[in-house]
Amino acid sequence: MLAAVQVSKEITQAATWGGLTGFQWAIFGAATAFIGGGMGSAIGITYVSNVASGILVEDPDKFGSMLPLLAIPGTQGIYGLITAILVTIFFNLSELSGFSGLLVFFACLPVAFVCCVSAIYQGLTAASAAGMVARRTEELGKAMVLPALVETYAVFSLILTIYLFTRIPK
Amino acid sequence: MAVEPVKKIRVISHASLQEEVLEALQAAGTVHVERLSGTELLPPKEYSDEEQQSLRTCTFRISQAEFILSYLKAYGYDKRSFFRTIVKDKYPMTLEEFVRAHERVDLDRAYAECSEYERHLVEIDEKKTALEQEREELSNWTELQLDMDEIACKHMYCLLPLRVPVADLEAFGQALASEVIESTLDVVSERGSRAYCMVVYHLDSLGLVEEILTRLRVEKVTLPDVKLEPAERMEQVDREIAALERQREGLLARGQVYAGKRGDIEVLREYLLNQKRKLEALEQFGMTRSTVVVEGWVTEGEMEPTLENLEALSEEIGLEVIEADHEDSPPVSLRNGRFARPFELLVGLYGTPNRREYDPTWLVAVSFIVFFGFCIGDVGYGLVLVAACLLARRFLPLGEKVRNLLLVISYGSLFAMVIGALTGSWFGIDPASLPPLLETMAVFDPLRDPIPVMLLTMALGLAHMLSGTVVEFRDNVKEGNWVDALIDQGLVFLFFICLGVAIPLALAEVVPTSTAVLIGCAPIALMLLLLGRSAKSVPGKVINGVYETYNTVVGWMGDTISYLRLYALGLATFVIGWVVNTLAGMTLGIGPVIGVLLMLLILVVGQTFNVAINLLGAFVHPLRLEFVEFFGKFYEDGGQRFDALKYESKIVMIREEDA
Repeated sequence: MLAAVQVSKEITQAATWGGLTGFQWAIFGAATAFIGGGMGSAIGITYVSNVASGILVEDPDKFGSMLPLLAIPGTQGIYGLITAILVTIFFNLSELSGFSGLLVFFACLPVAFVCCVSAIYQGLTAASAAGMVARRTEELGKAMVLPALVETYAVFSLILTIYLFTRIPK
Repeated sequence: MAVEPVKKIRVISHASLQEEVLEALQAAGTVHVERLSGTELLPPKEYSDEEQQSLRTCTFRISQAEFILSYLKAYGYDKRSFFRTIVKDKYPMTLEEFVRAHERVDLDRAYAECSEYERHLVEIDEKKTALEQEREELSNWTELQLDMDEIACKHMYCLLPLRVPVADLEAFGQALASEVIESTLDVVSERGSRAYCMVVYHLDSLGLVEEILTRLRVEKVTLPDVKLEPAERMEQVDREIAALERQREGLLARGQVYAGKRGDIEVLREYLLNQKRKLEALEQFGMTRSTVVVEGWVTEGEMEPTLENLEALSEEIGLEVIEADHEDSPPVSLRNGRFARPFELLVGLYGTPNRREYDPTWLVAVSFIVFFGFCIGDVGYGLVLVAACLLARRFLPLGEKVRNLLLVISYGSLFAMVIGALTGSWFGIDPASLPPLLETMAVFDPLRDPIPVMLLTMALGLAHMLSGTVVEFRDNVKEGNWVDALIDQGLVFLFFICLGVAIPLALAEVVPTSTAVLIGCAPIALMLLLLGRSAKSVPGKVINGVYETYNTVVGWMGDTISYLRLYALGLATFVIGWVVNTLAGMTLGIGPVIGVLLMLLILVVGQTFNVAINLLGAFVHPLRLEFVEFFGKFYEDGGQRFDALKYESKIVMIREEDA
């Protein structure tokens, strides 16, 4: 039993895990979080932009109404960036064990995946909402709430990632 | 803080006074005109020939104004800056000035001239396009020294200009040489991947040549039939294009006079739209052979001045105030105090409350301010937003809705300053670098110790949703639905009371954990028994009970967790600000002047971006919490909005004292 505890301790305190140091795993996680969020946001904004461009060709005065809808899918990229920054704030990277680094990497995955997917789908929802605003500009408020519903899970993924950071031995 | 009481008025006047009554109603702007049901005694109003003509004329004049404005826009008279595409031009004026809008511009003349200009401009543009295309083609033939009217079939021989891909030129030459004996091929020029050639062949070989052209996909070129060489014709085309451009500029200069009148035309269009709305309101009236009857709703507060206005019109007008009976469905007008009034905008985004419904505006006002404050959560950003909103309200000509929105943001930003002070967030500066006084004000550290802030946001969410449940309890009691109130809402209260008792008991180890769990879960047993009561059969009640209990418990858990977004959004504001500050700080090492300039640039651009992007989130996410989590507990929309017949416009700001 004691031997098992000893082995477990050695694994968790070892400088490397799977050939990578804690620093490398943590940076890998931070980069993955941003790549996921950023890619999703880029795709999501493209979807809305395509629809908004068509609307603005017909009525350039609607630019002010379209702008918030264009910006909405951009927040997941920001969540990815925040996660990446938080990795550097929460942990002393140079002294992070390999196992803790691996845990940081896993903790970054909710943001990486959920933000990527939710930004894409938020872009699609915002594109539909843009169509709604094109016909009835006064409904901008409602149109903005619909894509916000999709973002819920991106927000939760960020909360989960931050919570997991607090549980990782530093 | 309530749905305002309304009463119905009936106005009976002689038919000859119809126009005056209508005008007085629109000028007063206090009566929500209701369509009179067509009864035998009081058939609905039918438009007379004269009224139909007025409506047609009004519609036509609106399209005239729309045409002029679109003409001004299409031909570049109406160039707007980026800012002006967002903040539209506004025209503040008195009601008297507004109703005299037609005196500012001669619409018929403007329409006639602008449509004439447009017709000429379209012709000029078409001619210019054709000439430019001709010029482009001619530019490939400038080396050809031959009058173009010679390029034809004359005296047994034909001259044919062709466009051939350079890659196929050799094959084409060989085909021509081998298959059409009496023919020659001259390459005039090569431009890019195309060669421009002249073929001379005997008229008898026409069929053969055509067959080769089709086979090798060689394009024939049509050159203008003029007695000029291509280079000469090109110079002539240039002169014609220049002449057309001068003509175009002349026409645009003549149209410039209406560019200066764009504002007047926009105001006139708005006035005409109001006229049309007024004429369309006639349809709601009732009529007899010689009288016209109008029925409408007036709020209690506006009743006296409205009656006085109408009485002053003529002695031949009969007025009657009627109490609403149970068959009436009066429109809903919200009446809130000065603080909560701007938040009616947010409630209106969801939908007007049902008449029997509690007006939740003040609850929305308080909660929205708190949630907005959490999402921005920075003293500096809060201060900037308050200042920006107040300055915009003071100096920009804005509509009522935008002014209210700015007030909503100002209130929220004030609370953001409070949250910022409590969390140590000042323009995203690292709390460790703050002066000791500011540091001591911070009681939370959302970055390094997030759990207390997360719990706080969930507690706020719980309080928010419970207040919604209290409202639904009150509505049920008011309507006599005691059973629904006690079971649907009462059990929720009991559940949280039991949890509130069980958790401290368990934590203080006063009772064993199992007993605390039993106390906490006791209301769930009652829910299982009672929530399925709407089903008719016993198995149905059981299944429905399980389903409703699951929905209630899981729904409340999910909704409470949803409020965690407030923490995440607030943290996002801080972290982005912190990153911007860090990046700006790094530039200081570049050099004394460039470093400072770069730092300032990064700070201004970065912090502006941060405020803008988080302002969007701080508006949308709290709104979602209001609409989905809060309104879901009690709110029923479907009320008919109180929509008085009045002068209204998004761009003409009628001064209140005159309206």
